Amino acid sequence: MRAVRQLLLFLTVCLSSQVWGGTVALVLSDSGSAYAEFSSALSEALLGTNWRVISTTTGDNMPPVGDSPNLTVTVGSEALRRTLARGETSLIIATLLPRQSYDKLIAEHRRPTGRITAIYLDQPPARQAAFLRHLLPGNKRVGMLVSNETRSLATPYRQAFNAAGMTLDSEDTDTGDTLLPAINALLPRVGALLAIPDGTIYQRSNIKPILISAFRQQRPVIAYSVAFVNAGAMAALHTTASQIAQQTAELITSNPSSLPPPSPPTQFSIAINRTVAQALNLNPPDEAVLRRAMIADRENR
Amino acid sequence: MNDLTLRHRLLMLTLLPSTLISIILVAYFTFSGIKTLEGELTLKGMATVRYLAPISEYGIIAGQIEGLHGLAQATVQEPGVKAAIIVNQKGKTIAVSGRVSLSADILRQSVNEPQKVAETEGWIGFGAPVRRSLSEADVLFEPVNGPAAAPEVIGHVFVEFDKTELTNQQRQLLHRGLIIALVGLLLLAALAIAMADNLTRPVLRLVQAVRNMSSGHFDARVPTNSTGELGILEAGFNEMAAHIENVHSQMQSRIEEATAQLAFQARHDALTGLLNRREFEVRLEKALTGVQASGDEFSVLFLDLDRFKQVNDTCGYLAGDELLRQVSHLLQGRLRDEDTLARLGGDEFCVILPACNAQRAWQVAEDICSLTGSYRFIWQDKVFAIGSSIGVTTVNRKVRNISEILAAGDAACHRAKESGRNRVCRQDASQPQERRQDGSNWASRIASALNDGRLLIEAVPLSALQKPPNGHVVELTARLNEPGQSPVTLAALSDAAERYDLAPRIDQMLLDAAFTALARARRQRKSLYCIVPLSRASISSRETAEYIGRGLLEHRLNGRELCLIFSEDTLTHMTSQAMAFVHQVLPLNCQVGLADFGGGLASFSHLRSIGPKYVKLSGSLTRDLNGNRASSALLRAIHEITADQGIDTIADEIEDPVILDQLRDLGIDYAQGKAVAPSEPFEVWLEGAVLRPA
Repeated sequence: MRAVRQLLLFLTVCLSSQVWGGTVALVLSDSGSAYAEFSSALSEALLGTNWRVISTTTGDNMPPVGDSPNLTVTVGSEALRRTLARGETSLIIATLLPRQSYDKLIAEHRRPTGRITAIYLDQPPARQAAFLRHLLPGNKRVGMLVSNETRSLATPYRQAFNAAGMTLDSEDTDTGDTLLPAINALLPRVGALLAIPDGTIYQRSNIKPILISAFRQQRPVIAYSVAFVNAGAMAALHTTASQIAQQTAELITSNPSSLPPPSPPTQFSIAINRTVAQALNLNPPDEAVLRRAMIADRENR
Repeated sequence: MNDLTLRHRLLMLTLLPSTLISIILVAYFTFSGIKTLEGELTLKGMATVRYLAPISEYGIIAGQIEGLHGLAQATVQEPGVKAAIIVNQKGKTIAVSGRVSLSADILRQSVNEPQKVAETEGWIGFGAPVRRSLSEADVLFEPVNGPAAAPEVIGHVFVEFDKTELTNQQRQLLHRGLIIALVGLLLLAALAIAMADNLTRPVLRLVQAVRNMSSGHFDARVPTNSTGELGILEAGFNEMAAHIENVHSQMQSRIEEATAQLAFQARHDALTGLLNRREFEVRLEKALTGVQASGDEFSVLFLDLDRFKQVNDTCGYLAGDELLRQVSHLLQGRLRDEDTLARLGGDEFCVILPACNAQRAWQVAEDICSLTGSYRFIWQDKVFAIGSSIGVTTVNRKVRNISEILAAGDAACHRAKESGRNRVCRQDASQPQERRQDGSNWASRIASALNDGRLLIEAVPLSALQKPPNGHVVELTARLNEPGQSPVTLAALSDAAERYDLAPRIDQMLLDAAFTALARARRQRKSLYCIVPLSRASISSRETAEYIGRGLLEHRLNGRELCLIFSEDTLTHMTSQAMAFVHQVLPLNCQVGLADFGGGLASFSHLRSIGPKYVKLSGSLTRDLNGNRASSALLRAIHEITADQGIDTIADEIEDPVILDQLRDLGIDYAQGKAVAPSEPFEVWLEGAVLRPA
């Protein structure tokens, strides 16, 4: 089944490349490793198509006049912000940014629908629920901290968890002062804490107290990035820059004239901090096993 | 500084720098130790707050007051920690433990990094900020326009440390340092003193030894038990001292020797080894004192050599010295051991004859006189007849001092010399005597006599014994007439005259008188023949012949009436000069005669060499003619030889008419003396005997 899909994708790409073709301007937030990884992965994926990357900039400088690209791919929130700020007229695919940032920037710079789309970093709630179900099979109650930014997401999550046979409990916190009381109130009620991208709650200065609080109460934190796992979260469901690039290339080569609405990443990766797991007396399954289980789950539905 | 002793200098040299260094070292280490302790405390405090701050972070964030109290208490448990305070962002104390001394102001102040916030005598406070720690987050999820927030300060921790312990430790360190310094210094001082003593002891010994040496203790030595340079110094000093002692003793003995020699020389005559004048006077003084005490008598002989000057002039002073030595031996051989023989100077000798009366002394004097008279001094090829004039004086207790003795003896000796030499005269010391003219006055006496005309020319007429007289024959002589003095004959004058170069003037005076007399006699057509004696000096001078030539020419005289007579001695000892003189005067037709003929051994050889007209026989041949066969045989032999050569013989000083007859019998041609005619002033004789009208 997977092979068939890949073959189809390949054929689509080949076909469209024959029909469509154009230029892509790549705008990176900076030259950091994730962006570089994305850039090279995208270039690689576009090889053999009619699309080619004509420029790779950080968006500070204006691209050469008279040779405007058919499509602009922004990598990272900052790249999108700069691109929007300079009034880019071509189609824009925003990648490698949280949904929150995209929404905020779009709200600031109005763009007609169909001229801009995005591939978020945020994992879909169903996938998260599936992940948690396989990761912590005995746990039925999952807690989540929400702020003004993410309060709207609480309902889809709750529905997804319910669908997966789990209960999502949430606690509101909008300031630093209320964070620890909220977490201390939430954790005793749930078996794990699910962290979703939220600029108000999960700041660099807050991650440590959150992790310590969770650890003191022997609750695992399920996060959204590898960095979070390295900082002390037990596991994370995430999508790598290459995977996003791959998805982006697919999008470019499929139908660039009219862009689809923003979508979550289609592919994902799993990161598990075994040390933390041991400290919490948990023994989560292997990443590959988890991944297979999740894919099997999706196909079964 | 300069008047410090060696020991003090050594002590100062060793103690001063080491004391300074040790004090500096101990002070340095003590204070650095104190600093280190302080530094350690600071480090400990800083470390404590640095550790306390992060672990307080969660408690502050989470508001876990109990946990923070636990942390504060745990911190206070640390040694030296007095109090621990944790304050929140607003400066409100949320946990505290221990006795807090920090003021509320300090607790409220914001501290940016771990640091010391307060310090007093008793405690020290440190503070550090508690920062919110930042976790590494995924950049992709950073909010857009999110400020790069600096780590937020969420509170402070303060820790107070008690300094009592530190102060105690510091005090202990200081005490220990002081004790170490003190002990070290004491040890150092003891060591330095021992070293200084060790070094200075031998030096002080050397110093003492040098002092002893310089104060005359040449036996000063130092023990040579030191090593190294001091040992060398000590050994060297001892060697030097031994050398100096040795040299000193040698010098001492030399000085003693020299002193003895000087003492001997002071008392003795260098030439003859006899006592000198000074010692003689001392002995004389002693003898006089003895005589004055005991009442005994002793006699003193004053002896003056005759013809000593002649030897000296003819053969040099070496011969004179030798003569004096020989005479000394001669006299010593004849004297007793107890007699004291001394040389007073020149040719004067003195003999003290202890316990000897006048009669015995006279005999001794006669004995010595004949001894010296018969003594012949031989020098190279020349033979001298010496004689001595001796004055005898006898000393008894009436004599008051030695000056009287000396004066009497001198006068007696002088009289003996004036009376014709080689004889003995006597003078009593106790009797006042006429003052003798000092010998050194002769020059002025003769000179003034010549100037004042007090030197009278006398005529000694000669009597022809064999044939009838053909005119008058006279010998000219002179006599010194001084007021209050007895007349002095030419014979007595001649020594002094020769010595002071006055003899030629006397000779010229005689010659002048002869020229005048001969001139006058010729004018009166009277026959006169003059015999003029010439001194040794005149014979040796070329001017004499010239003077005679001028005189003859001036008075238009034929030299045939003039006979120049000189002593055979002169011919013997000044042969070449005498021969030259004879060859000078013979062309003037003058005739030459020899006086004192027969006294020497070479008399006969002279007859041939100079061919004299007359010879005047030596007094020794004619004096004891009476009954002496040897003398008469000798005279006869002389007569035979002289007669054979046409030489006339003259016998002088004939006082006895009997002898005159004997002489006539022996064939002697002329005689003079009292038996013939007394000598009388020449002018008187000339007027009376020659120029008297027939």
